[in-house]
Amino acid sequence: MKKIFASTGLVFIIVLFLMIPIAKSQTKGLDLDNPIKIGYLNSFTGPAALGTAKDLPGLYLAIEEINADGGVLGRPLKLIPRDDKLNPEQALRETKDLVLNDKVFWVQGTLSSSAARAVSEYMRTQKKIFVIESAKSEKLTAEWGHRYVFRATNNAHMEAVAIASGCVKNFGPLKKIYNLSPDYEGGVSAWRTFFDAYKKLVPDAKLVGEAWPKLGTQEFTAYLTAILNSEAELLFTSFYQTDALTMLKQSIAVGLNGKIAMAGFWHGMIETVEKFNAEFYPKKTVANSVYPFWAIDTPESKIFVEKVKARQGVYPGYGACGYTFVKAMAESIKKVGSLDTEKVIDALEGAIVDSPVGKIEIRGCDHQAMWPSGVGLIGELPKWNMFATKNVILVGKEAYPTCEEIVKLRKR
Amino acid sequence: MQLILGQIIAGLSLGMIFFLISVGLSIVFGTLKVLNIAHASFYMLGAYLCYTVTHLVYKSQNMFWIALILAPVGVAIFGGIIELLVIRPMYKREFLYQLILTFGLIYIIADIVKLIWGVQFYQVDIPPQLQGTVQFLGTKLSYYHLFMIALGPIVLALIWVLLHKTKLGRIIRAVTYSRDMSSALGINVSLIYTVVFMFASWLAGLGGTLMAPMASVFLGMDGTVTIECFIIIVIGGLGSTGGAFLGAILFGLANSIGIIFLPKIAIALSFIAMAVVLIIRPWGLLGKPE
Amino acid sequence: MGIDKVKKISYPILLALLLVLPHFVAEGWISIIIEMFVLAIAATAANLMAGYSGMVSFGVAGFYGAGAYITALLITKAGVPFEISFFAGPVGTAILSLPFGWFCVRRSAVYFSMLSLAFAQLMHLIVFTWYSFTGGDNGIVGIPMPALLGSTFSYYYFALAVMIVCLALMWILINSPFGKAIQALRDNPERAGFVGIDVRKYQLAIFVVGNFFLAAAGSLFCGFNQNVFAEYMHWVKTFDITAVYLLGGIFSFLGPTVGAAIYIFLNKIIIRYTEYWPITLGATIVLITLFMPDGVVGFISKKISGKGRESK
Repeated sequence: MKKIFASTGLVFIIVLFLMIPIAKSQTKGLDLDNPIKIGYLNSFTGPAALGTAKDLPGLYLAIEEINADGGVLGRPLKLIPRDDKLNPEQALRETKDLVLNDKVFWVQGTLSSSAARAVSEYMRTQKKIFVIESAKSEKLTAEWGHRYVFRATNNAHMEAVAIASGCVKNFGPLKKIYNLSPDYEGGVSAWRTFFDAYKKLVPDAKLVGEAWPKLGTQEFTAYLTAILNSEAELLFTSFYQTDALTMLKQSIAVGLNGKIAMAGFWHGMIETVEKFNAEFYPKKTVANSVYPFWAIDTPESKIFVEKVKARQGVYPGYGACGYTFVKAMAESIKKVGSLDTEKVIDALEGAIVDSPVGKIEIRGCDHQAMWPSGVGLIGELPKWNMFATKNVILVGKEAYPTCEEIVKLRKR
Repeated sequence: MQLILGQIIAGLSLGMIFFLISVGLSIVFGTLKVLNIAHASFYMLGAYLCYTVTHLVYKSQNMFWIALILAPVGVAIFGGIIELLVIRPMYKREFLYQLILTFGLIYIIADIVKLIWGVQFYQVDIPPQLQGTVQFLGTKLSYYHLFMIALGPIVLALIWVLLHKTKLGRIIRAVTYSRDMSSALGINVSLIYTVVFMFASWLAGLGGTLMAPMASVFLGMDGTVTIECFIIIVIGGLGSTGGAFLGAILFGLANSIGIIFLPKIAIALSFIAMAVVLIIRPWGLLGKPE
Repeated sequence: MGIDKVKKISYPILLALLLVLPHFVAEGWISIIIEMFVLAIAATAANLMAGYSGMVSFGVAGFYGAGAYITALLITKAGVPFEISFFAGPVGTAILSLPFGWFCVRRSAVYFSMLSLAFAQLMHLIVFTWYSFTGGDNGIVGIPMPALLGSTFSYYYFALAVMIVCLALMWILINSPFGKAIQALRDNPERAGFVGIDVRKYQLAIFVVGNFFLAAAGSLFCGFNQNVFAEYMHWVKTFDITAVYLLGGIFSFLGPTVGAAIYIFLNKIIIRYTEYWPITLGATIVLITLFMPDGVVGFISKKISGKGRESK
């Protein structure tokens, strides 16, 4: 019986305990600094943590430059990073905290498309801006898109279209295709888009085999030997980062590497290419990169890369997109003259902003920053002392679905 | 035919890695009666230590052989510390509490790894002596896979000899059979528990060390094998070394052959197999009924 | 008696406090408290099986998620309004858990745990790969709710009511003759069998009841977030729920509720201040397990009464 008393008392105490942070948060509005807060979501633990480490410096750099330049409306910008554990439930939980308790003006982030979806839907109901940083599902700005969600980077649809044309340019019209992709909605979607786009260029292309191991598979050898023994001419895979590296290891071990052509859908990411060297790189492989700085010769790009390297000792990845969009937001807020979400959204639509890859338009119909995808054949880049994509073609607007198509998708 | 053969070899070598990780888990459960969910964390630690040792001397690929000795020992030492500090107080506690404690350990070890090695992915090269492939019956088999397939039964034999032909092994088996009786007979049960735990950690570390050249070393790699190990030791029989071997081979083969014939169901197969074994013969293929 | 009087006073005060809380607490924290209500139901339900019946289910996340998915799918695919779908979640899951439970209760201890895990993983796999129906890893979002429950404010009262009802029902059950029999089973299944109790039937019943309330928690959460994701069924969630009832205290009825409040609160605070939340959370779990063997509630009870653990 004493236990009941104890447990009751404890619940009581806990509830009182809760009041302290609540009381505290009410006085936050009197902060003298009064920064404009930006919520940031991404993974700080697990395999996605590396991507976050390459993303954040870009945002911090943008914020530093803006603050050094007098801030926005006389106030400094401040980033509040939170771990979303690559989990939609957690992402939503943190978003609510950021929006309701920390009173951020907008939320930016996440790599996970499911997390982005959960956050996007919530922000729609809250009428606050959500900027997708690195999540790739095209649906987020197409059928699931709405007024309050923007995307700073490109999407899987346009990358698939881009790499399809890249394959034909580099390998010619190969007909027999094998698909080795991860079994989740993103993997299925990437394959379908690629194959549809490829068949437009090579009408009698056909699928000679496929396998769908799950994300995080450690052993691809069985699949790779199957491919080696098949009649495939072109292998398409959307496994990325650690899975792509594991696959490469094992591909070399069974002697598949270089035997057939490969469309390494996300093999061009900086986290992946910086692991390549003369003995360890995917031969005869075409890949996409979001920010192939090694192939971009503009002074702006060079300066950006140097600044990120100086700040954090890493080469930038998606941070280039984040950097661009934070600056775009700052500009829009300044143009509007106040923190009025609706007016800022209007200002963003159709805006043309400077970025490390050149001028980028933030398209009005789907709020997609028309970020290009750099497609090229992986090979040695002596000037940069690394292996990455060569003869990169920046595929841009033409790979994105048209506004008419977006409208149609949203009507369904 | 070549397809099947290639698949079998790939499946067997994967199975050997899983055997090395799982057998430690099984032994700890059989002898210490503790289900150490954090066991896969030792596997991860082994892989990271392998990376560190192989990169101590820049560009020396022969360092892998040194790593093969040092890394598992390092994990064993770490395992010993964990056992002394955190597991030992838990032997008298209920199963459930042991479980939650080891669950907490997963988080702790994950962050320890992140604090020491950071968020980068790492690569370990296959040692030059094991690189390349050999042509066999019309298909290419990688030397490294063959090496792993050879190592598995060697380790199995090693464990068997240890348990059945040495004095230490007799003591361990006595303690497994009855902790109280062994204690009454004057055996230092606590010491034996620590030794067994360290041995299991060594095995998991060995698994990680061997896996590193075949795959990548990254945060969260423990989560990629945790559930699979449970499945294997359940199918093989909790506490049975031979069972872990058999279960791991079946798992590896089912995976590699399954994806050819039943691609969509291949992953579900292992859970279904686990459920079937638990329903029909819960003590597993080679375990003993309670 | 003195204790009963304290009970009579403190419960109503607590209730009154919870009733007026939304009026002077920020919306962000209301959101957190609703999550505590959900977790309290889930952890108490799981503890019905573990603490009271000695059946440690590793599949709790599966059934929790099943409730959420049934509710979500009924609303989005069949247009069944939330008022009905909400109840269909636990009812449907209870029916679903019958065949699973039939197999599970035939096994004891660790085998029971493993089998329940296998079933939960299968459910997770089905949900994850059947993306055409369940949305797979993309989940289902934007689930429409009745206007009455549209705001966090109103959902708070709904969740509070559901929690009180669920806890009350579970409390009644555990104190009924059935409940007493189930606890006798936990302590000595052989003897219970001799006394004429059909062990399997009772265990199956508690399995179904436990999963019923787990699913209720899932449906409640689904309604709150207006979404459902495959992660709801992931085994990490099982460990979260298990950690909650263990840390709270498995030998007291309100232990899991206390554990839920502490766990969510801890998580909230830790994540705000450090990216190294795993080691902080892990160390907390380890320390509590080592030094508070009966959970937080048990620990405090001991301090108050000055003696060791009493068994119920």
